[in-house]
Amino acid sequence: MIDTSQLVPLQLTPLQQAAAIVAATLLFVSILVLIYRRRLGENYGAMWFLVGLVTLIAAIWQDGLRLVARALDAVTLTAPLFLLSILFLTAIAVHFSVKLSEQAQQVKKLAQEVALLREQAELKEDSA
Amino acid sequence: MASGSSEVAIIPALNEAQRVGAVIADLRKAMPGLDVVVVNDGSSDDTEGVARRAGATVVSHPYRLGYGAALQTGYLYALRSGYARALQIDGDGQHDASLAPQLLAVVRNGRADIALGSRFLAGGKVAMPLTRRIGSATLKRLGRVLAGIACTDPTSGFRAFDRATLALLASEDFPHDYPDMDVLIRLRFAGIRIAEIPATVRERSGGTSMHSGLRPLYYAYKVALASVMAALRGRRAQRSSV
Repeated sequence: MIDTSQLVPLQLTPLQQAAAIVAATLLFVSILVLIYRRRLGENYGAMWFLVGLVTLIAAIWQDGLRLVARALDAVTLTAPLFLLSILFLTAIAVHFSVKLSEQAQQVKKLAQEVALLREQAELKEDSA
Repeated sequence: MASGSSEVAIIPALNEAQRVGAVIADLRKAMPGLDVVVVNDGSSDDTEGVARRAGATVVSHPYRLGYGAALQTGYLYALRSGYARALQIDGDGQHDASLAPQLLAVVRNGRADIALGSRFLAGGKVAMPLTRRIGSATLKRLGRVLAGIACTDPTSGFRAFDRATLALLASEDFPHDYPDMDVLIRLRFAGIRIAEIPATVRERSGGTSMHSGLRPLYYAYKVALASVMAALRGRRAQRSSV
């Protein structure tokens, strides 16, 4: 149960709310178009759909946003939004760094396999 | 072709050293002349050794690429080796290999271009968790609405294909993780005929299923979205070809 008296007494202006809803909708549409054009995999799409969903919820359910602001001792509603955005972007950067490292290892292994196979093929060709 | 056979069984396998040998033996018993290729998807156990000792050709990925990628490697192998038809069967022993001749016969006799072994047809036996049953029912509805596909078991990994279907599956647009209803929708829009026969699917006797943990949630999201996209692309291709 939300105790509204404990909430930060601020709210998004109708313009801010509309901008957040439009931004989330645009994000949804862009991701769908990218997946349709095969420029983005469904697996990475899931992450961005989640971002759009959280933005939409935050814009529509402002009591929830005030609850987060209160928990973080924030004095404005936009502060927790910025904090969450920075945390999310940091998490994404770390995730992609891990992926890149993993893929660098895989490319190296693949190149080594190709080199060894080429050597075997040339040996077979010479002995034939 | 390893033995002059025009048909090959493709077995994708990830850490199936305990089970893949029995699958190969069952296949050999059901179809003694059938060539068998095991696509070892970067297993950390002795899947490769067990499969070789059981008499199968083994193609090993240098690291794990995913179930769909393993299947596609098998399709590429079948195409490049000149096989006319291919059978797909999982390496965990869930499928009844004794039904392989019937499944391949559907394609060989020209009744369809792709044949699926269905758990839900009369004569098929069902042993699957409730969540998968719900997922399968949802996918069936999706396939019917999006592409008019009336198959009863779109998630079945027990399949047979002709060469034209193999060529489509081996093309770039194939999922690396869960090839499911989205692939059937794509095939349907390409004019491929789909048929089913009853099949028994057993519970896994060990190992880890690719549908364990939180993966069913991602699976549901991924296959549903990919199915919608496949239908949209298919309709667009149809419109532009008219």
